[in-house]
Amino acid sequence: MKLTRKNYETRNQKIVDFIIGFIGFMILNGVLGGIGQLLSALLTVPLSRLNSNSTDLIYGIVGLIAICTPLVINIGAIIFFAFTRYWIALGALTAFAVGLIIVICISIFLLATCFGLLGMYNTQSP
Amino acid sequence: MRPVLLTINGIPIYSHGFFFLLGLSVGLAVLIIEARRRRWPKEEVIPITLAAFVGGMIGARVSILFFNGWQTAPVVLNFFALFDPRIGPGSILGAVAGAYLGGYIAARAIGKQGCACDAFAPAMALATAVGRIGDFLTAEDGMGKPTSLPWGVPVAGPVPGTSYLAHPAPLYDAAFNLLWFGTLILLRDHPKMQNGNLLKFGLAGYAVFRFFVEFVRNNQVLAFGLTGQQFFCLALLIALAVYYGRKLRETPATAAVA
Repeated sequence: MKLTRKNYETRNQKIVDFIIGFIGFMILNGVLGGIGQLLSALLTVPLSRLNSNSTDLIYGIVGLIAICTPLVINIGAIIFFAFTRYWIALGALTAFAVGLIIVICISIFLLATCFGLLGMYNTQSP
Repeated sequence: MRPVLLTINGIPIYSHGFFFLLGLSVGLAVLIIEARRRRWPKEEVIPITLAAFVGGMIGARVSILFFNGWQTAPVVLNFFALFDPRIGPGSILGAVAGAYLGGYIAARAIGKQGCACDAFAPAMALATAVGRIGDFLTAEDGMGKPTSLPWGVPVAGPVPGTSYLAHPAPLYDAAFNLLWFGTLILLRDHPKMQNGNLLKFGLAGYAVFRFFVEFVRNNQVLAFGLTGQQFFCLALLIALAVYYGRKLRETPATAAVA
């Protein structure tokens, strides 16, 4: 698939695409988060009616797909737009970075748990 | 140990978060100074830095899957968990790989010829040196195996009320990275340390150090007595050796054609 890159001719075009990327990132992830919650609520009862062996396997597969999907979509979308509509990608990347920075600032006031102490793991954090 | 660095009006300031943020800030400052010194346009530096930062945060988290096992998948593959301040960032090795990949993709996306990445080398070294202080003060990330060496630090033992002396592995890391930062600064203008070579040299140096310091850390052994982090370091060093091996083979051929 050949990717066609948009040529930005005016500053306004860049600003519009940047805003689309920035706000679009938040809207997309709001929707993905909502879908995740809905699927979790809808699937719990039907899956609980299956016998335990198939439930564990199906929970595992469905759960892994559900967990991975937002990450894959976000990364894929940013990379796609980076090569097609660059300023949308930059807007989304900026929103992503701002979110992470806010989290890092909040973590100053919280005791962050490393992976070694989350209780499920048998080693200290790398 | 000092997991709470200080208290302001009754609000605790935790060492890990504080030094993590300080490390990132210091690294960013070095990057900006280096970028200005090299006269890199901000139209290139900004997107590459953003991509490296985001890529680094994702890489740090996802790499835990390899180092700590599939049972970590519900957390490390969860996009929204990236925004949970109660969960630590993850592995510095994964962060390095993710940052490199993110920066590389961004450089290709903006059509940059060559590598705009050498400024990251001293920045990452200094950022890591600072961040590791927080790991040490928190005493939960990477404190080493028991030791009888005079510089061993007391850590809580498995039985409540007991303690033992452990290698201060985060301080080894911090000390190395501080020295490495100085080394990279001294080498930054060397003709052979341009066009990505300084960054690769920086990564190689840290990989060698990390491979050996892993022997005094408590990370999970995967095979042959080596941890996942050591396998990662070996893979990185092999990849760099292959890369430079190919470059060396191409150079005489190019000269012959010329």
